Amino acid sequence: MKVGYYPGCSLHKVAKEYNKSTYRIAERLGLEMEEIKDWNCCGALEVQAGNPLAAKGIVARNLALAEEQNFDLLTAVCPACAYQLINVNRMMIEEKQKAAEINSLMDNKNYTPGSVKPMHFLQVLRDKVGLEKIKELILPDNPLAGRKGVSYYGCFCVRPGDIIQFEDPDNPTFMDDLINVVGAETPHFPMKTKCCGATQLLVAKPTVETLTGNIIVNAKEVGAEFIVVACQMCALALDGQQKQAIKRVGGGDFSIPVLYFSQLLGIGMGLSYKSLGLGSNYVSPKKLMKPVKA
Amino acid sequence: MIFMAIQTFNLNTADLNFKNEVVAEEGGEHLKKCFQCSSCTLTCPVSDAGLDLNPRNIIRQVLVGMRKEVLESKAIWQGVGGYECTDRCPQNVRFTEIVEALRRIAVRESKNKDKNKRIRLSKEGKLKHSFDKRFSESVWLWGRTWEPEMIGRYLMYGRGLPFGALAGFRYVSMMLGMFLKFKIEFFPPWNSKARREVRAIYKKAKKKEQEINA
Repeated sequence: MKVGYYPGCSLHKVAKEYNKSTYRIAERLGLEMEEIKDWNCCGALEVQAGNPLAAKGIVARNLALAEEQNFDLLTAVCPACAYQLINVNRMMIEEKQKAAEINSLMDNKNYTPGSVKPMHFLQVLRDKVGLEKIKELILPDNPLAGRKGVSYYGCFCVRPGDIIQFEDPDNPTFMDDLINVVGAETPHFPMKTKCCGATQLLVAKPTVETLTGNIIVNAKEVGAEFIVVACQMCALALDGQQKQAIKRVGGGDFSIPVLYFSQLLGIGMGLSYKSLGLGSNYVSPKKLMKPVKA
Repeated sequence: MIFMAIQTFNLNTADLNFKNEVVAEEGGEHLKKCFQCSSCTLTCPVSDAGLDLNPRNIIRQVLVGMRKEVLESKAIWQGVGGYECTDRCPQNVRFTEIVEALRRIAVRESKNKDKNKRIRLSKEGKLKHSFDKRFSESVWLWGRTWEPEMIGRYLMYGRGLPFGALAGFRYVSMMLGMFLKFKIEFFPPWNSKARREVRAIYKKAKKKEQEINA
């Protein structure tokens, strides 16, 4: 199946391991994932803050590019990018006048609303690939089997629920299913969808440290050995500044490896440490790589 | 609990048109549906962490017409954009978008030529606005963000030169980590086609907004 891939700004360098591992598992699952050419930034929430019309214009340009390059399905692994693509697509379908206004911003491009279906890569795994197919590829004796892990969704994967329309925004479960498929247990994790505030990392660091610290300490309390995320900003907050965050809330001396769901599946499929970019994670996941003693 | 002196608000000084101003702004359309149930505040992680932000309170202040108090507060700048308030709201008020609208009004009014009506942005507001601006400029420059340029310029100018830039030292450990993992992009992303077209979109959008405001 042919899938258009919109990487977004962070995926090329800041979260290169996410990019790398996503390509690897897509290849294994038989998805022909191709990056759309000439893409530009989706504007996240920041361009929208000062200049809402231009923000919609630059997102529509990406959708028009996907249409031009004949992709029916456009996927992004950055939830903020996915949210922007889904939101503008929905807006252009629902409001004809707005669609004409947004299209008039682009010089030589035109997007027909609804011709591309944008979604997050998790949704592609659930709806287009299916859990059964993933299950077939998982090795039963992978190093994560028998461990305990929690899934952390954050904001844009599931919220706002009426726009994303992926999972129950209060208790999403698909990432838990992925952890179970790999063979690990999923203890109940109350902070699953609490925001980590990573977008404010450069503006209000103490706030972000508090929010993140609460999440990490809670994960430790429920007995998790690793946290699975689906967002590179969540990873930056939970992984990149884990030490400071735990210190801020007074959680003690420990560290928890943070994995992307693509890395989780990659480990389950027996892909190598290097090809999944696991060496690039801030908290080294090396201690997860030995099989659990029975 | 800390007991604070009660600051009463004189209703005669209320700006009764403020709520209409917010409703007219993009994202603020659903403001008047709020019935003050406080679901937003209870679910807000920032409120939980003990900061000033109280979504229910802000909506009430807007409805009553406390224009200056709301726009100059630091609370409207503390939201992290987690959409929890938006999601749990039984009346679909969409507080995250209201906050964005309020921020936009505050920035616009801080440049008001009439000195008596001018809004003074709080310190948090200036920082967040500066960050948004650098992000937007970076997209204009390269067609996508180039983090070293954007973050570097933000840390230099966000808090004001020369001493403000020293605040950048608190990010040193994080940046060193990125550097050691080869996660910093040293060369600018060079895609001239995307850049040219993004600039054209910015230009047209600006023109359109000026037409609406004029």
